[in-house]
Amino acid sequence: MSSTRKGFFVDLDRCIKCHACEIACRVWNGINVPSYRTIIEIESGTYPFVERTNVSIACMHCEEAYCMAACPAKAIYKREDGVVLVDSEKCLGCRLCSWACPFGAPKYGSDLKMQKCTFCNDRPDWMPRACEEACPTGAIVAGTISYLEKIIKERKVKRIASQIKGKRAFMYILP
Amino acid sequence: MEMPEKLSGAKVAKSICGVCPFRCSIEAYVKDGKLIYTRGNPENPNTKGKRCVKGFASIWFAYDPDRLKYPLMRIGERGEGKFKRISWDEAFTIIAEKLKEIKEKYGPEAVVSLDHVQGCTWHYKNFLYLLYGTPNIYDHTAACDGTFTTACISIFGSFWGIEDYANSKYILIWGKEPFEAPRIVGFLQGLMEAKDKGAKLVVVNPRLSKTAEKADEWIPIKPGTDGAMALAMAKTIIDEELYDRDFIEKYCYGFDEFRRHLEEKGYTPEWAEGITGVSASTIRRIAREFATTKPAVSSAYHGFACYTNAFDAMRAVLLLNVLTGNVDKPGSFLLVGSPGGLEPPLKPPFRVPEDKIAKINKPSLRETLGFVLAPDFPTALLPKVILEGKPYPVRALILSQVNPIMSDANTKLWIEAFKALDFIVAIDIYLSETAMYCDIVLPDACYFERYDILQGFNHAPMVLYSEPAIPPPGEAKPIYEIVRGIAEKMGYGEYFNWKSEEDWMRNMIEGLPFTLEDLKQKGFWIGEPQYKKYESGLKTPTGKIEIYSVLVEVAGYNPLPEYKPPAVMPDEKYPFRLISARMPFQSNLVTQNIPMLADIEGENWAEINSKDAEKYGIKTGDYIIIESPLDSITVKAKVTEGIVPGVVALVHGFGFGHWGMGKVAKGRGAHINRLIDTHIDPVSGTIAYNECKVRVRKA
Ligand code: SF4
Ligand code: SF4
Ligand code: SF4
Repeated sequence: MSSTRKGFFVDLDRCIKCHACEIACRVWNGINVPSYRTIIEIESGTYPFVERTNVSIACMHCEEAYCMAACPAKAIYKREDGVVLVDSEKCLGCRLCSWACPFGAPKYGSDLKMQKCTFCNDRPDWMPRACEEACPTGAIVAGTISYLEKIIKERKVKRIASQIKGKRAFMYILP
Repeated sequence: MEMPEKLSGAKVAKSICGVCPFRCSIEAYVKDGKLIYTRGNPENPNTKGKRCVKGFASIWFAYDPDRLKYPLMRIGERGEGKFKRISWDEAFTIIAEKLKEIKEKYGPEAVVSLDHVQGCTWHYKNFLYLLYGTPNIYDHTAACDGTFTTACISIFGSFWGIEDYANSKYILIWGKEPFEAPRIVGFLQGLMEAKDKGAKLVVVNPRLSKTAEKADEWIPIKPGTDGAMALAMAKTIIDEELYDRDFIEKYCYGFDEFRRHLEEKGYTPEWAEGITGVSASTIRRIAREFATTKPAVSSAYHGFACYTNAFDAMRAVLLLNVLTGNVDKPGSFLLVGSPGGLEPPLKPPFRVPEDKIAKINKPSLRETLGFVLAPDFPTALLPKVILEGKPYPVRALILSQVNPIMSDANTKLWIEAFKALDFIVAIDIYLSETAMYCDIVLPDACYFERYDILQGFNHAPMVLYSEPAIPPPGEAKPIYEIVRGIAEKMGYGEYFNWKSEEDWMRNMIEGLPFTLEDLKQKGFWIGEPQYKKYESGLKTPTGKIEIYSVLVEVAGYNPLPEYKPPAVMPDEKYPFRLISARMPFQSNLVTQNIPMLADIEGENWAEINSKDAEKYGIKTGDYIIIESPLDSITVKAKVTEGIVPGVVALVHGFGFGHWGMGKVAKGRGAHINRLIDTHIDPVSGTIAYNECKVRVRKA
């Protein structure tokens, strides 16, 4: 993975499923946009030995993006820094990308086109992404892979899930 | 630094969030007259540029088409929701006349005012108290912090306490939810920081809450029995001589009495095990760990306080800090404010000369009904007072930013009481369920649309400033303008003749070590934190930390905390205990009309242990009927391992089931308060929302 590529690191030790990331994203990108983030909760164990893990998921900006491959109109493209974007001029709204994406990241918008995380492409680099800015616990870190790796080292992360099939840019701490 | 296109050239207003009572200092960005972006005030140590999810979502208040825009007068039956638009002048005239009439006929105390501490209530309270002369001005304390505040005042002579999580090494949390009810972001960041530094987090809660999920240890406890565990821990700490002898000798009052009391009552871990369902060995171990790890902090809040025995339980939990010397030092339980409230003291926005101050005719309902220690009147008792006319008649209500028909227990009784009143005014941003029962409804400005000065919830004294980012919608007015309009009609105009809001804001901060200009520039002022305030004497009767509370004794209650079982216990007919929990992204009854939030969870749900669910054939997603002796509701079920068997938890039970408010909120989910009968903690007056037994079946 090239280290200048961008992606997210989500620290599952920290995510509390408060949805601040999701809401801040919607406020920033327009209240009418669909949710680019989904926060899921996984429970395991039996009472009273129970564990729950929360994960905030958005587009992973995959290295080899299934959505791109699936798009018949070639509306989905990858920027040099790895960010995957939808060109709504070209998008047909056929939703094939959404089915191809393992995370269901592209959503059908009110403009009848597919919409997804843009990595807040209207924010300059010095500014945190809206989701990252809002997250109260520091669970979301966004940036270049080398930056993410630095944070991961700092937080003395024990287990990382990353690069499913070697093609993804996301990283999770597994508790 | 280059700003994104969206923000470049935007005007930034300093503001105070008014969604929950915790008053985060924020910045609101306005461009082309539109509110486009908000964030926590980056300079404020509690927000550091962040705010919680509810706060972010509340930008919708600026857009919501369901906001009230004009004064309304009721034309249908109470509750029917039929109103006609009237002018402000008509509204002020009607209110002034009615208030005069009631004062003449019954006395000013027949007018009761309820408001919420979210802000901007100074003019309103001072007008009603100083000029009109009713002593019956109450806020939401009985539904919220009453138990905590009363316990803090009785032990420490301080209004409030804050846990210094960030510097703590052992954090014991009882029914308080930094992660599930995220408030001031700085507090929960402190908790994360403590965890990063290796602090141990122990959460005592009948439910695996969002905070319990992150804990090193979740201690599932039977609801309403925490006091027993805390007392048994105290006994262990004393018996094993793990207490801070020096600290207790120097700064505390009544240790020996407490030791004897625990002995006489036999509050052993074995005794507590039978009550709490937590093993004696666990109680001993947690007590030892807590007492030997320094600094440590033990604290509780609202969920814990929803029982009739909560005041003593709260005292017991806070006394664990006292026994171990974990008071007002970094990493411990920090003392905030004085018995009168938060610091520094703000002054009234307008002055009334001594001889013009209205004479109080009769003492307040709070005093008359014997709640001398309670910071507020137990509003749960108000319907009875109204319906029976005892101890004296209450004929009118003035309601600001409150919705008691939904927020208080026993919905039916409240509705009955509302129907019996002569006159009711609601000031709100929505046509709430309560507003639907009112005679006059006035459109309020939301927090983006007004000036305000408030104290912050913080260890070091803090004052916050708010200026309007945008104008209110339609003809809506901030409350100080509403009060001015009513006051003028009643002949009190001279006190409200400010030329600009700055005039009254300057009055409020008079004598404080900063200027209005300082506030405007930064959005807040913060003083120096003071630790170990007990060294120079506290504002308790003895000046010491009172393990044995003189105040409580004088009030006629046991000066030492004892354990009493909850008032309502499950039985054969109603085998479950009903408790409420929260969605992190909803604030009580305030945020349900925000579409973004409704998209996350469209309705509330009931959590039930898998063993119980199996017995009743309930699966996640099924609708179930929850029935109490009072009423029943239908709600979605979620089967989980993370709850004590025999308990049903309604998640955000007090915020859903709106039948008013707005198009988004209406008809979603179920409302818990119709199931709950009137119970209060007798000392603090706090509403015992969790004193409820229910049965369940598949719908
Ligand atoms: S804001 Fe942070 S803690 Fe909250 S859900 Fe998103 S990632 Fe999790
Ligand atoms: S990076 Fe921006 S667009 Fe993507 S999820 Fe975060 S806030 Fe939304
Ligand atoms: S905690 Fe959230 S809702 Fe409460 S004042 Fe702060 S931003 Fe507003």
